[in-house]
Amino acid sequence: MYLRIIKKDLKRQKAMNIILLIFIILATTFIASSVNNLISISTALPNYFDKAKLGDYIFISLNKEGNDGAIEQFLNSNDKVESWTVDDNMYISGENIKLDNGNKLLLNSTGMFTSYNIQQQKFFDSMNKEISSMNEGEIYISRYVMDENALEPGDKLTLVYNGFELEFTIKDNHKDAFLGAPLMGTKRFIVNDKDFQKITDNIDSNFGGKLYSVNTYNLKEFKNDFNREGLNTLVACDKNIISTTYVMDMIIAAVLLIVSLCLIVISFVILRFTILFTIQEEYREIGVMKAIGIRDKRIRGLYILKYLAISIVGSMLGFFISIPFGDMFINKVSRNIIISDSIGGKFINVLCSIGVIIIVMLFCYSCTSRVSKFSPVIAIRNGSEGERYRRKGFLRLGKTRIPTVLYLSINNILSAPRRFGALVIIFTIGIILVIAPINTLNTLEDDGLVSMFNMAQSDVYMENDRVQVEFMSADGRSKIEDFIDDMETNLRENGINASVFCEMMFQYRITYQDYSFTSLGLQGTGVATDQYIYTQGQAPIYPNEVALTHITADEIGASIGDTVSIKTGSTSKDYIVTAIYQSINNMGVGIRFSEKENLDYKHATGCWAVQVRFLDDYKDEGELIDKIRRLYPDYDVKTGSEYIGEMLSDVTVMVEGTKQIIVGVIILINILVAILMVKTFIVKEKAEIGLLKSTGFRNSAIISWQILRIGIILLISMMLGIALANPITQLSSGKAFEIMGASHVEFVIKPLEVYVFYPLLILTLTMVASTLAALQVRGVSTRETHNIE
Amino acid sequence: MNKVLEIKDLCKTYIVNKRQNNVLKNVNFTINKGEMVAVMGPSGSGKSTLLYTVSGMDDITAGRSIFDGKDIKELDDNELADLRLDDMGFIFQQMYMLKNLTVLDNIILPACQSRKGSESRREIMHRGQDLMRKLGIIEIADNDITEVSGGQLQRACICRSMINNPKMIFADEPTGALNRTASDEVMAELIKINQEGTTIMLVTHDVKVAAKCSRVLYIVDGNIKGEYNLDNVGSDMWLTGRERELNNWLMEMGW
Repeated sequence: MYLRIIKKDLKRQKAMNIILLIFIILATTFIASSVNNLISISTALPNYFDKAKLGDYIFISLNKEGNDGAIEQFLNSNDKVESWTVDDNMYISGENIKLDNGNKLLLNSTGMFTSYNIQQQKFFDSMNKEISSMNEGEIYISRYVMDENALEPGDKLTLVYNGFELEFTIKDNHKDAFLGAPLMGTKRFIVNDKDFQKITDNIDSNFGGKLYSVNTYNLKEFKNDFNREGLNTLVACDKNIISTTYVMDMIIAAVLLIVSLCLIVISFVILRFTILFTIQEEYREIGVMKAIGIRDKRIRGLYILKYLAISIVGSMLGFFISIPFGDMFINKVSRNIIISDSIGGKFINVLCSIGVIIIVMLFCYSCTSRVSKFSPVIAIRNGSEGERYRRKGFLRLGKTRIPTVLYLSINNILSAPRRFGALVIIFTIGIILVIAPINTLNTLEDDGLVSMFNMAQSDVYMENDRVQVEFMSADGRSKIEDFIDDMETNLRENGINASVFCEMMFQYRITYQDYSFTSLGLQGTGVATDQYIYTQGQAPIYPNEVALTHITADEIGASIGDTVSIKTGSTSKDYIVTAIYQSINNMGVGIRFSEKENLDYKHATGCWAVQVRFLDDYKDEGELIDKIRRLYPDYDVKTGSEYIGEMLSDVTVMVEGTKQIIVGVIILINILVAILMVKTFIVKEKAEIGLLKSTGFRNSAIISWQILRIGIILLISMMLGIALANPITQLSSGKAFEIMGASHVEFVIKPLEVYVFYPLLILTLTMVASTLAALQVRGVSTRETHNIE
Repeated sequence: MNKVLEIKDLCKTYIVNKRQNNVLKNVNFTINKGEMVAVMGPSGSGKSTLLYTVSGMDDITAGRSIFDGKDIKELDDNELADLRLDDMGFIFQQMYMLKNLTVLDNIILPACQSRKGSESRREIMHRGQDLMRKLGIIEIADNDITEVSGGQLQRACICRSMINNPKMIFADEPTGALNRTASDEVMAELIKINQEGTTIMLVTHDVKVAAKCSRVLYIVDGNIKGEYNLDNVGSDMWLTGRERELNNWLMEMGW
């Protein structure tokens, strides 16, 4: 008999049972995919590094600096070294790599050629398979280079150097644990052993270097020994620093983790709401059963059985949907790294699905336990004991001028704040999840980010690898000065009054007391140090003054006024620290020298773009930039945002992709929740709708009543979401900028976009969906009035 | 006399489990302005269906229901809603009200929604309070609907049905859920409203209630089997006599 009651109940309350089933499917999908992703992403980098067999400490020495065997001697004698490997590499500029169409390869940095078969690490192809063999003439390149040059597997590249030519066919893009992060300037090219030999045989060995990988017993002590030794290296970093180069991937991962956590919260709120709602629907039935003498235990068993059946079906379906849903998110992160399935794999999804069943059962058990305390009459009265100790709502229809329908909506919300509060939580989370990534993306795309790279503001950025490489020589400083004079004169003659400047980069070891640290050094020519932003102190003016980033200062324990020693080339010199600044360049590491200091540009490791700042107030800067393009056809001429966009191109693409997927998912969730909520309310309020119809309310008025409630809830959520989004952006994405070296970031907020466009988009789409769902009201008959409780 | 409601060949059919159930079969009758007509008949005879069908609360399968010169079948949803809002009042056997509103708010809700008058919200509230005062329930104006007795609530439902000064009130067993005292009070109010000029059509099982009406329609198996005019019997001064006469007639009808 009880099974017959359940069968009948499932049929009779079809709409409500289907809604509950859909919510259980949603909750299982969100929880199972999110928990799996949480575990996968949080262990992704260590797993990837292990899979790539990345050493504890990696450094590169340049042949041109001379290697007298001191490095090998140190590594062999140091008792903290467990094992070490060395591989050859060759630095090649994009100028020396030609594409099929004759154009040079766009690199925006230096290219490094190595064999696929090096001891330092393993490489993987785009399908995450280890590259274990390569034929002659084949090449693997980074995805960034492929995207930047619109290359595809099968396309040809030719290495050209002083008459030597070597043609390659692109096999695929590779995943490179050491240099694969978008923030890593150097891009690796992987070739066959024999091809690499041909390259080293034919290209000036000064462009070559050695790549060392060290496994240690004690990394910290090894690093101390290494720094004390003062070996000449271009780059030296441990796994932790390499991890930080993946910070943007991790920002995306962190954003997805936040999304996952929010989806879990949304799921619990939805589940609690729906189960309470559906159980309340059953009160009258329970009361009748109690009245005819069926025992509480039996009644509870009946409902628990029904909810168990629904939750098993819902969780099973949710489990199957959770797999592609979770993968969709993971694919966004895994463009640069390999994310292995979490330890438990899909078993995690199974566990989560079972967890959802248990949660539903617990909710159901606690709700029905309340019912068993009711007398049959109270149960029949839907749990209302007829007692009230405080007034419901505070609005009175007779005392307000609010239109009747709006009054009904507001009164409903005020009369059931907990029920509608659940909706506010869901929609608020949705709004925050949309605004936070947009603020991050806008900040990453903004011109102002130049100052975060510790660059002086300018109007035009010009790049020419060949010219810039010439500056990296012993007489580089004078070459830059001549270059700047020529360019300023030429521009002036062409009606452009502008100042031209350029910045060189170095790798120097800085020492203060017992602490030593290898840091990026920067010196501008043609630009005064007061053109840069400092968080504390004064710009370094005299040759013996420097400014340090707060990360470099913290590493060695120095502060303003201290005297530090910096090894610039073969000799060390003392400098006074006059200022502290922040930079997201090179993971926040940096030393800024006065433009008056005489540094040897032979040791320069790189050069920023040549910068042009207009001195007059020109109306049409776009036209001037076009003019400069015509005057300097060999240069890649860009605006500030184009230059930053290129520096962070992969990052912005990733953030943009993530933004799109989040906006899409959130809008879909909002729409789905709104539709289901409206349908739930209509099912629950059929009798009230019938009563309103019988008293002469038009369908349009009743539909407005239904959707106005969702509209009010959405507006409240939007206000809350907008108010909370910025502090949450600061907490989440701000943390990522902090890892990159910025102590404080002012997020760029485009009010029209984040306060108007996206909220309006969400509001409009959700309201349209709610209206469509509310059209169901038309089918409710006045006869439903008789079902009023 | 002016016709308020004219029913011509009215049929109502429900399909239950693919079987046609003819609840009303070619029903014809007229109600004039100021009348108070009771519909009586055995259970399942189609009394309530008749009430809801003629008032446009339920669809008409065939025939016509002309209310105040308007054929209800020809009206669209909005016109029908406006008719119910401004010209009709409904009282149900159960005291249906919106649970999140106070008793007074429930009463004035149709008036606030009506576009008929140009009254302010305050004036509507005063009118609602006057009605409540008239029906002796002013003290429950700010109460929740769960905090008042059935009799009080049914009188509140009468107030709601009256709030827009309808041309006609349809009442489906308005005293069915009440005890005798409450039932007498409610009927006294309905008679008072009728005497003030409002036409009333009510469905009842109670001879005592029907005896207070001016006319009784007796329905059996979806057909009006007979009609009894109580105005010929005498005024309500001799109520027991009216009840006796009505009872005798009903017995003849097979009651």
